[in-house]
Amino acid sequence: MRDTLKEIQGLDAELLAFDPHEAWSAKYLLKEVGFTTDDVNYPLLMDPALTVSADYGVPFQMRIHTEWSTRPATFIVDKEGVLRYAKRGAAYNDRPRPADVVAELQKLQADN
Amino acid sequence: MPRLLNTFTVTMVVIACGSLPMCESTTRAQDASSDSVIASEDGSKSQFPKFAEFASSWSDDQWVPRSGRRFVGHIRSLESDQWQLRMLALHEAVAAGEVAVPFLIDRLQQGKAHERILAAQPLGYLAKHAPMEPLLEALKNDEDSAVKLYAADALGMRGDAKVGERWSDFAGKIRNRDVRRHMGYAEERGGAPIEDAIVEQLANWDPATMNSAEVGKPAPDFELSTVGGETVKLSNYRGKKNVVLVFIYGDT
Repeated sequence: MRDTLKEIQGLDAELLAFDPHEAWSAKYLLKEVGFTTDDVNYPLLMDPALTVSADYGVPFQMRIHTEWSTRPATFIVDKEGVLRYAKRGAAYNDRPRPADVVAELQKLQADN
Repeated sequence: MPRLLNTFTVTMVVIACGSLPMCESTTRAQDASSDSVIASEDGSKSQFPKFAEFASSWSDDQWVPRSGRRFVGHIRSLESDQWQLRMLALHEAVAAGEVAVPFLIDRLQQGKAHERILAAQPLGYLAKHAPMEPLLEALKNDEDSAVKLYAADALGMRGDAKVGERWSDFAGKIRNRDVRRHMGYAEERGGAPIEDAIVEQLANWDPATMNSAEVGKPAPDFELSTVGGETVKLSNYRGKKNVVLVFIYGDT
C-alpha cells in the first residue's frame, strides 16, 4: 500500500481516503492497534454526515456484522475536476488492483 | 437517475415538508402510530416524516450475501436504490430537527425493526434534543442488534460524560460484539457531543446531488476534515493534481 501510494503521488496525484465516522472513532480504532493519527500517511477524510458518500453513491450499501456502511469504491478526478474513473464494488472485497489505479493515472498523464 | 424517478417522486412528496418553514414551527407528534403525521400548531398538516411509509418501501431484500471463512457480510446489489431512501429518511429527519424527535422516539418504541433502525440513527444527530431513557431502553431490550448499535451511538452523541454509568447495570448482558464496541466508542467520547457542524452538513445537504458522480462530468465537490483536523476541499486540487478517492468501508 505504501509503495502504491508513492507511485500514485509520483503520477501527479493525491490519494484521499474516506471514513463514514466521526474522527474520534477513527482515533479510537487506531489506538486499539497501537497507532495514532500521525501514522496515517495519506489524508483520511471523515464523512460522518454521509453527504459526500451519498453524492458519490456509496452509503448504506454494506452490512458488515451489525452496521450499515459504505460500499467499497474508487474514483479518479482529473486536474480539471472531471470524474474520469468510477468503480463501485459489487462485493466487499471488489476493489480495483493498485496497478489498475496506476494505469488509469498513467492514461490521464498520456492524455495531457 | 430516470429509473429512480417514481420512487423519488413518491419519496419527495412524502418528505417535502422537511424544507418548508411551516414545519419549523412548534409541532407535536399526532397519532403517530396510525398514520405517522406530524402536524404543526397552526393546523397545517404536513406529511413529514412518514416513516411508516419509508419503512414499508425501504425493503431489505436486495442484498447479495457474501460469506467467507471468517467473514459473513452483505452488500447491496449495484442496481438497488434502497440506500437512497434511507439517506433521504436520515437527511429529512435531521433537517426537521427537534420537531422530529417525539416522532422518532415513538417509532423507536413502537415501530417494526426497519422503522426502529431508521428512527435510531437520526436520533444520534439530533441527540442534543433526544431524551436518554428511550435510548437506554432500546439499547437494553431491543431485539435488533442494529437498533441497539445506533442507540448506543446516540447515547454517546448526546455528550453525556457519564454514559457508561447509565448502562452499567445491564452492559454485561449485551453479547453482540459490534454493539459492545460502539458502547466503547460512546464512552471514549468523554462527554463530547456530536458537533453542530456535522449535523448542519447533513441537514443542509441537497438531496438533488445524491448519486450525482458520473464519469465524464464534473466530480461533486466536497470539503471535509481529515482525522487530524485539517480541511480538504476537492476543488483546491483543480489545475494542480489528479485525485484518487477511496471509500473504505467502515467496519464498525
